[in-house]
Amino acid sequence: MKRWLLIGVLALAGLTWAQQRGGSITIAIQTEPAAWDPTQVAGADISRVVYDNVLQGLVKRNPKGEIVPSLAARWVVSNSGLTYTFTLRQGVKFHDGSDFTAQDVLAKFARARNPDTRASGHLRPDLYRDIANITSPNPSTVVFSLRQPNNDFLFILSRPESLIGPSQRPLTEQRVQPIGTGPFRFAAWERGVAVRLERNPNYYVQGLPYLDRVNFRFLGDGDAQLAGLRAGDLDAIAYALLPENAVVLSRDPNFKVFSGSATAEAVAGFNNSRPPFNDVRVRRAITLATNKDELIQGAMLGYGTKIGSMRSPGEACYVDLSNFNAYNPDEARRLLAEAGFTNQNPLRFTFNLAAEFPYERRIGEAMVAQLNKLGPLQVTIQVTDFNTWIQRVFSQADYAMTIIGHVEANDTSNYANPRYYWRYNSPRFQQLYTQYLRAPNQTKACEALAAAQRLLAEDAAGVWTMSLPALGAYRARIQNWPDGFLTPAISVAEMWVRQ
Amino acid sequence: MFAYTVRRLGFAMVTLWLATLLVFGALLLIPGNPAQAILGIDATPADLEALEARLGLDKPPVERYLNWLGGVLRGDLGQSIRYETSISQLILARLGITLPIVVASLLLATLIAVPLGILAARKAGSPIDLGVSMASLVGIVLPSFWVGLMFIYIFIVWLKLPLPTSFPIGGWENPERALAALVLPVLTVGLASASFLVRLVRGSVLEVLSQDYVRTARSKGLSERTVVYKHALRNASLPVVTVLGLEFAQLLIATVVVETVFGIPGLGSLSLLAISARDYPLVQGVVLVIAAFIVLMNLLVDLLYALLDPRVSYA
Repeated sequence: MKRWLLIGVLALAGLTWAQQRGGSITIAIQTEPAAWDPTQVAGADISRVVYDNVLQGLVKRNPKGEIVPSLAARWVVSNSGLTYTFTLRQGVKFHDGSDFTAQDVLAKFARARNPDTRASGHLRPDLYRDIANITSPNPSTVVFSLRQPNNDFLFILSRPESLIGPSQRPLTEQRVQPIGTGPFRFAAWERGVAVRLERNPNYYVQGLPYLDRVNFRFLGDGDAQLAGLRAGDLDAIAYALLPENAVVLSRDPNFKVFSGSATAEAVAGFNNSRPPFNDVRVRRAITLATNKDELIQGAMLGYGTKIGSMRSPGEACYVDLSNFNAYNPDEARRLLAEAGFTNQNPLRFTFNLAAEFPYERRIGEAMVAQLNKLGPLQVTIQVTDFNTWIQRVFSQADYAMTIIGHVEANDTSNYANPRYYWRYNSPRFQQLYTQYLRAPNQTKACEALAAAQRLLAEDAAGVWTMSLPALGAYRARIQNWPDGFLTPAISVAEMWVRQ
Repeated sequence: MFAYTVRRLGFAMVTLWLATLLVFGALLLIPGNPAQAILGIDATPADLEALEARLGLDKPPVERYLNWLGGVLRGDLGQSIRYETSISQLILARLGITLPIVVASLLLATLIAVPLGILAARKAGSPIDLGVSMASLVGIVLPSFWVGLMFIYIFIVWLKLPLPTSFPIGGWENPERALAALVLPVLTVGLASASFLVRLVRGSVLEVLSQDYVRTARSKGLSERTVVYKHALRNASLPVVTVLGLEFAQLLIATVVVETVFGIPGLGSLSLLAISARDYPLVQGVVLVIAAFIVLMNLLVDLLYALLDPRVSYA
């Protein structure tokens, strides 16, 4: 008995000592954002660095995609779904030493809701449209009253746009050197090279973070990343590791390769408003002519998850439609013939690719090869730089087909916007999406969202080739690398390095 | 010579101005704008409009150009749209990395190419000449991004030399590490330039060696060494100096491929970023600086002519 006790005590001690404090790591990310405040500038790479590491909101999404407390210690939602009461964490300080207060929350959401974006400098006021008013009955409580129930409200509060900075901080400064309440403070931005984060000694969670410094190094070239990791200049490649490099690294015991379903759908989108893609038979034929298993194996060496609609496994209310409209070239040819396209009179169109995205480029090129093999399709590839792509394809919808990864979580809603570049205008879908948003409970909400996913698949509103993997690698001595990828962040708060 | 220099500098100013005009026009023609580049696909049209207003992109192009030109005349290259920081400082920081690479690479190239080129010319047709030609051909044909990657694998991964694979975070704050980071890029660029230069040296030495005055020198009984190094080399160096001058200006940008492989934040990658981000003032700033270097190098080469060849005079 005594011996067991001793072992137990030692094991406990081992657990508490196990996490070693100190050290620094350097993580490669692919692109360098234009600024670092996600309330002012959009971009997945901003959140990867600052979300929860530097800037925090009332709630946050953890690696599993669950919405958990952050600056709000807890919250209560009224039965009507119209009132959200948040109890704020006490004794929290911003990195500049000032106190985090209810005033910061009120000021933040006043700015966020301001429809005059020129004045507020805040992105997406449309997200906050359902808020009727926000009050603070006492210094530790903030109450949001909504005009109508919104099932996505907590999700919206967990979005990068909802992160909170000091209310007095000038926006120009917050853009280039954000101040927040997170476990790390933003130390320096070396343009073209890296961002340096340093441990916040006053972090409100006792004992965290473990690391003294975290550098995010901008390195776009996959081979340069691999060389850096192997030579010891980098400790991790956070994402967009090339599949062939993943295979190489997975054979080396010094590195750990991680791969999992994230929230990024590689969508081969149609311009649904333009002939011939306004014809569901043509869209369905192209879906049937796409061999998704082959794309995942051939272009991504198996890294990727087959999906059949605009949602990734792991996200709430996901419905598995991966085998809906499965590969069937004969049926594809039949549908095309019905729509008037044959080997003699093939359907010719251009497929737009953005040069900067390695995954989407190879998936798109392989997909076009599959389509051209069918017979009645003659598809040409046009590669442009991303900026041209945004202008022509995304803003002006001047395209036939394209492919891009949609990284954001919960972005099924994009199909509810007929002005979005897919130009998918389905009143039925819009109705289902509203039903989801306004549903009285989670079950009803998921039912509506499931029907919406099914409708998209039946309409073949796009070809959802795969859920792109969160694919990366890190040095084996790094501990606590997150095992889920359903958060916008590369969370470094709990990482530590085995000496 | 002074009057000549002043006149040339005057022309240079006009050239520089035309260059900025050309670049500004070209940037207006290519699709995309900096606000869209910044916001990507996660923003709404309203967000875009607000950002365009903040960046001053809602003003007419002519006004934007004149504002920029006015700034330049006052010695201010303006602010980068993408980086929200002073363009002069950005360019200076990048030149602090690119210039050492370019200068060291050209030095290395000259040190390799001149003796080898002379050797090949003197032994024209011999196995040595053939060897030099083959080696230079290989050097020209191999793409520098591949050579760079091979160097990383050979020197760092296999031989485990303590060289960084990318420019260190903190840059020149850590001079030894920063310098070490430039070794392989210099080797890559230097060898590529040498491959090309050695053919030029060989060719021009061969040409000079067949001239009358060399035959006269030889028939006077001068040693071959004196003939080559005292009489031939000076004349053979004229085309080499010209090319070195042009190569210098060109390398300021052309190192971009090597910069990508070696993770070096140089002028080349800055210009690439500036173009893909449609950061108009930054593109113009970089072009202005590069154009100034080209003009300056041309002037320097011309002045060197006068030194090397007494028959050339700019009086």
